[in-house]
Amino acid sequence: MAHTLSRSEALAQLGGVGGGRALYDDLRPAYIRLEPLVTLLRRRGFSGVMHAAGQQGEGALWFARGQLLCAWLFPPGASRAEVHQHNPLEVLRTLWADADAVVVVRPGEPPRLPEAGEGRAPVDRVAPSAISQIPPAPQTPADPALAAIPWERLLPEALARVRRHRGRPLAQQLEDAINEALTPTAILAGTEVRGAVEPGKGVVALRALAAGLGRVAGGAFADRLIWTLGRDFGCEEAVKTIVRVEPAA
Amino acid sequence: MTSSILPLLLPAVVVAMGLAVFLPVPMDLTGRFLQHLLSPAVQILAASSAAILLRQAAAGYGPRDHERRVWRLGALAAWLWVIGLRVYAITEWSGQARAYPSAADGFLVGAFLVLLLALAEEFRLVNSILTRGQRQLLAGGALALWVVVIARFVWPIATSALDPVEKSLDLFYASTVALLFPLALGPAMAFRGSVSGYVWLGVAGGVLCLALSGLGFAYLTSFEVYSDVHPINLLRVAGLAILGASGAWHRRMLEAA
Repeated sequence: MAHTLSRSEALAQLGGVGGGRALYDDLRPAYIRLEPLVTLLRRRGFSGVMHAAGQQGEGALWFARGQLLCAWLFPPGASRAEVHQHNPLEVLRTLWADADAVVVVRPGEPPRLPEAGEGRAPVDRVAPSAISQIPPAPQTPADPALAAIPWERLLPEALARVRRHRGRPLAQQLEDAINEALTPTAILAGTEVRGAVEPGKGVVALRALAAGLGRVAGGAFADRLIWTLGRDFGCEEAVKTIVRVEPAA
Repeated sequence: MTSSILPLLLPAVVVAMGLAVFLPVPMDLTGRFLQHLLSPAVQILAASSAAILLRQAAAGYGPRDHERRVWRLGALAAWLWVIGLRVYAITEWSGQARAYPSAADGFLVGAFLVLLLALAEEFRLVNSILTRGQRQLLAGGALALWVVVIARFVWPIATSALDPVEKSLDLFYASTVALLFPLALGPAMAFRGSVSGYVWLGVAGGVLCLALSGLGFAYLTSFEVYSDVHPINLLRVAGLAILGASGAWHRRMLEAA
């Protein structure tokens, strides 16, 4: 039997999405194509939800680390929706038929899907209203030195320097690696970090950048670039404790 | 010295010397003698400076960095050019009837092969950054270039009565342009729009000049019109100077990180 959920359960799922800001807000199918947007999110290892509402109803497509997890759709007037795990993109395609539908993409923790034979996960909270009112997730800084690193400025600047020295294609690959590390609480889009970077995830992201750059440009160069960056942001010592670049064999 | 502007000026001075040696057409005996004396000297100077600057670029890396090996191989290729050009000059000045093919070609072929290895190593590094379309474009360009070179330059030589060793060398020197240039363009495409992209564009330009000088050398010798003061040698001087300048620029980029 297919798994279904009620409107209140759907709202609870949306309410559980963390992150203060939407990655993309108020998009319209009239000028945004579905496939390229989904491809971009998948390539970035995105975790979160793409929510759309319009004349065809209301639906959501969930991502988990770049994978399409599931989707649900409430046709107009329906009180329950079927959760699609097989080919979930088709659900959003239905909503894309309405050129004026409102689409929001928000990073966050995807819902837990019930195992085969398992009952539905208990719903203990109902979101007050729309996805735009979702509160930001709380941060839990562990090490004060790491928490003091301005990750939201440091990571985009690191990528900008990679782009200046080694070009856009490599920077794009490293951006994808960073986003895989930051997901689901934050995402790096161009020169801006959206959402909140947890220090632990920032460390993983910086190490991913150092390793990727070191493979191409050499460990010595990657070390210099990142340590200089740490110096420029007043956190050289903290950065030096995290980045241990393994030179290419 | 590496952080100063001097390493970038050295290749410019070498090119200026090359222009001063190869472009004038001296009418008197002393002028001709001087030109024959200076021609190999300028070429050896160009190769030596390129070797030093490429070695300095390699020194900017850690001992296990992949690109260190690339630049060191580039420096080794330039040293092989130094040896090959010296052997060629000695062969010429010793009055041997035929300076081509000679022992010098062993070193010059070796120089091209080591340079080919260096570029292949760098291409392997950037292969994952290039798109499939870019790889196809480079492979297609290399094939088209090789076909044009063979049809236009090598075919007339291959069908002539030259000895097999000379024909093989001609085929090798002529083919270097199709082998080396696309390989050098790969990193320039992968790093496009960045400082490294311009450095590798310089390397590609230097490699193109060197390969064209090899092609010109093979073509001119087959028609017995090559001499050590022929202006085609300017391409070799320019190619080595551009390679050296690229190495110097790359070293500055590494230091400025």
